[in-house]
Amino acid sequence: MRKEKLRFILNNKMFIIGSILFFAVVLVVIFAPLIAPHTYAEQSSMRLAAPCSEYPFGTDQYGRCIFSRVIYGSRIALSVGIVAVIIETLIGVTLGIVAGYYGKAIDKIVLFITDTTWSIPPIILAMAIVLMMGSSAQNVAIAIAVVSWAQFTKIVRAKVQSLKNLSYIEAAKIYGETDLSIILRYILPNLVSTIIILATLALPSAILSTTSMGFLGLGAQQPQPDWGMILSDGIQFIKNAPWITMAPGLAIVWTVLGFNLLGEGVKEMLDPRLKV
Amino acid sequence: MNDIIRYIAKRLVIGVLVVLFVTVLIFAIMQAMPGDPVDLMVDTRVSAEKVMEIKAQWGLDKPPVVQYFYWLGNIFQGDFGTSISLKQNVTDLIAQRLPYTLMLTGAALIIEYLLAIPLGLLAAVRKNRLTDKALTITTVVLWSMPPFWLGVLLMMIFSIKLNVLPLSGYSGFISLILPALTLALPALAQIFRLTRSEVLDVMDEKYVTTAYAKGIDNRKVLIKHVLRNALIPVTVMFFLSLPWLIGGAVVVENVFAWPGMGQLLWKGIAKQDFVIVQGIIFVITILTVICNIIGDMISGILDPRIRLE
Amino acid sequence: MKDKVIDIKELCVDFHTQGGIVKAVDHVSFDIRKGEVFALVGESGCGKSTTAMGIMQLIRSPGTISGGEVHFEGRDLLRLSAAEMTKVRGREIGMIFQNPLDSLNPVYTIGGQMMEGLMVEKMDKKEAYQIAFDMLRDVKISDVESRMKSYPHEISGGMRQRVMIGMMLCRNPKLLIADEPTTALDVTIQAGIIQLMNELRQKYGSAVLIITHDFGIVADIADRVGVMYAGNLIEVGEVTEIFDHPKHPYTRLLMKALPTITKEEGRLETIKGTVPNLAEERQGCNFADRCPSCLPQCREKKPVLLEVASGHLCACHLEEGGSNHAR
Repeated sequence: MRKEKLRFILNNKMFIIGSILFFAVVLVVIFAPLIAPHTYAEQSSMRLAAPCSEYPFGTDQYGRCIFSRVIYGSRIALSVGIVAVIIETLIGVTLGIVAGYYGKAIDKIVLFITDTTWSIPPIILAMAIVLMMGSSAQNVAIAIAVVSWAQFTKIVRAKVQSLKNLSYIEAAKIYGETDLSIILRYILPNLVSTIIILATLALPSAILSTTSMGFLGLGAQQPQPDWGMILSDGIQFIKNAPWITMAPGLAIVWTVLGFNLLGEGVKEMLDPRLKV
Repeated sequence: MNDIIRYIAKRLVIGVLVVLFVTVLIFAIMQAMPGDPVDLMVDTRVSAEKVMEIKAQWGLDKPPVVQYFYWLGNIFQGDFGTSISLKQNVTDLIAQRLPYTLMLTGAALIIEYLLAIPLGLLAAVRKNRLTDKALTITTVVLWSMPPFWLGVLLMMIFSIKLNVLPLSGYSGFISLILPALTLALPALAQIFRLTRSEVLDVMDEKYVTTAYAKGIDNRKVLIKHVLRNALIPVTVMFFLSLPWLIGGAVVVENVFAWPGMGQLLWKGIAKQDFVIVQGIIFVITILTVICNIIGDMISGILDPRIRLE
Repeated sequence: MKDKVIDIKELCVDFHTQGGIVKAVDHVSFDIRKGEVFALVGESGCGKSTTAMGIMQLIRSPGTISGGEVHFEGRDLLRLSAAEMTKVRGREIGMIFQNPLDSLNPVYTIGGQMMEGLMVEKMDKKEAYQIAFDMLRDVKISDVESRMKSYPHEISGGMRQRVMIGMMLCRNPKLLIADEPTTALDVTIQAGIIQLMNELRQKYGSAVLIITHDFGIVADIADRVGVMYAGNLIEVGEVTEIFDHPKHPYTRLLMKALPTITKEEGRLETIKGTVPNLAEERQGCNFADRCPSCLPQCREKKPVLLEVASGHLCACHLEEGGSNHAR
């Protein structure tokens, strides 16, 4: 069995490439101060300098090293993304279990709330929430979580509905086990693989949303090196200094692609028929 | 026929409820916003009586619940109020910009589906072969692209390097090409994958074997039986994907200085102009709800099983 | 000898899997005569459905037909072009399937789906409607007019199977293949379907290839029967002959495993062991490992179908040279 799993992993090229991209990002996050030649806020007199040995991706209008800013930026992108996914998993899974397990009116209410959140473009609702709470990395994480838990709820709810009718869960009910104990002991363990898949696939879109918010100026503020912000600052110099937009763009694609491939691989391994 | 009417009526009621709920949500968010809107709006030199007068005129001296109904009443009369930062009627502002946003999202939707459906079908028919793999990888990469960076890349190539398309702003139909592509390409991945997996699922269905057993030729089976069923969820997705596309449009409009609602929204947010923000969110919500209802209706028409639910 | 409707010779179907090539149908030969009902029986996975799909050339990847001949109306179907084979399907050979819900397209009406097959032949709509209408009446569907407009999910399972039968008979094919036509239905409805098939084949004169694991159905409807085991056809003969004098040890065990009213013991017998892995290259008889009377040569040489009595063929070393075997 273990051997088969191993063979499966080795045959799953997407998973392997995804993992490599992913571990590279993790290394960058951990060793950012060692990799980056400068700090993210350090300004020099060389403004809008082209890529050279000192500044591998050039400098911005304040003479800051783009490469170093992008390296440090991975910390913001990843931490905001991960915090957002943790929060949305908690909200989404809890509501999904409650709706699926109790059904009836509770289910209807949860379903109505999810339908409503689907009716506002997530990024726009997130913008409104950040506007309400103030621009900061934490608030972006919260806003992204608030607008994207519905996916978890829908899938978990459907899964719980089918689990609920399994005979051993019905038997547990007849034995008089409490709902909480049934949920924790029988239902939750059966949801683990689904939750892992959903969370790994939610991370890349959370990171994309984070950078989109940063691009619109909502999120970490200067001189924090937010990828989206570096890119949007670079657009005004697109004719004279196109390199400013290259490094953050590549970084985003690298990270998001890595997580997407990893997520696809995990899904392929745990539950290929799950429709996400 | 009765089934369909009942089904549509049910969807309409839910749609109205959703819109009402969203208005409550927007109102709550705006209430929670730091700072008093009237204080932001008027000059500090204006007397306290004058401020009270303005507040009374807007109903802002009343409790929040009453205020909500004032606001709701105004909205349903088509009055979104006056922008704080631009000092213009928000209804007019939106009316000016809405056509541009619809043009952009409409063009993007068309590009997206015209490319994604044939490619999805092709990948499904060539499952696990080179074409399929190449298409799958390309779409995953596109899906991982932040639209704003894709926009920048397209600008660099077509506007700066080749100088064949306008860099930004609106100057006729030709300036639509780059923003529409920027919006469509990343979104295409989802529709491609949906089409591919649906076609593969349907090809496994027994009724497809039945169709072959009846002596229907391959091309007809693919069109009449496989595509006809596989495209049900794809068609529904056409309408349901609108909110995501409008969300993407907000970003893309800012890259290309496209004179649509997204740019207006961004200006509103940058200036903390909540009148603009709530007006735009409301309009977008209505659009989304309408699209959802159309999507549900279409799926009811295309799939006779759904009408019974 | 009566005219043969179809003559299958050495048909082979392989499935290319990760574990190797699975010989799902391995050199299977039999024929069906005009107006006859031939039953193919065996456990699930023995290759009986695959044989039927092979005749229709509806095998899907990763399966391929790797050899053999299927003679029908004087030509070898396996040599026809795809377009020519399309014309054979439905027109000359019809096929109905196990699960009547999955077998009808959910988005088209019953009438539409019946007419679709008819209109392949450039028939006008009115005529097609009339034929479909009469056919539905023939398969004993009440209120035909409104049923024509019904969608598959709106009618019961038994009725859907009647529609399937009607749909496949309305072009009056010379051969009707019925793959487990009653398995997915309630027992009470099964008898009705079998009776209907019996009536209709007399009326329309089609030969029938019925695939089943149920000897009850075989006894009810079939004239001749072929027993399959692990991709091989191991015994063929008249129903009465096979029921009264089963020769192959597998067939005997299968008969013993049948519940009968007259049986005195309270327990049913089971066949010990499991079907071998068909992806492995093997010598000898596929049944050797489970056979109660296995001989040394059974593990070395594969037995071939030989006539053991008039019209009764059996592939077993025990029967070669009329050796007296343990009972």
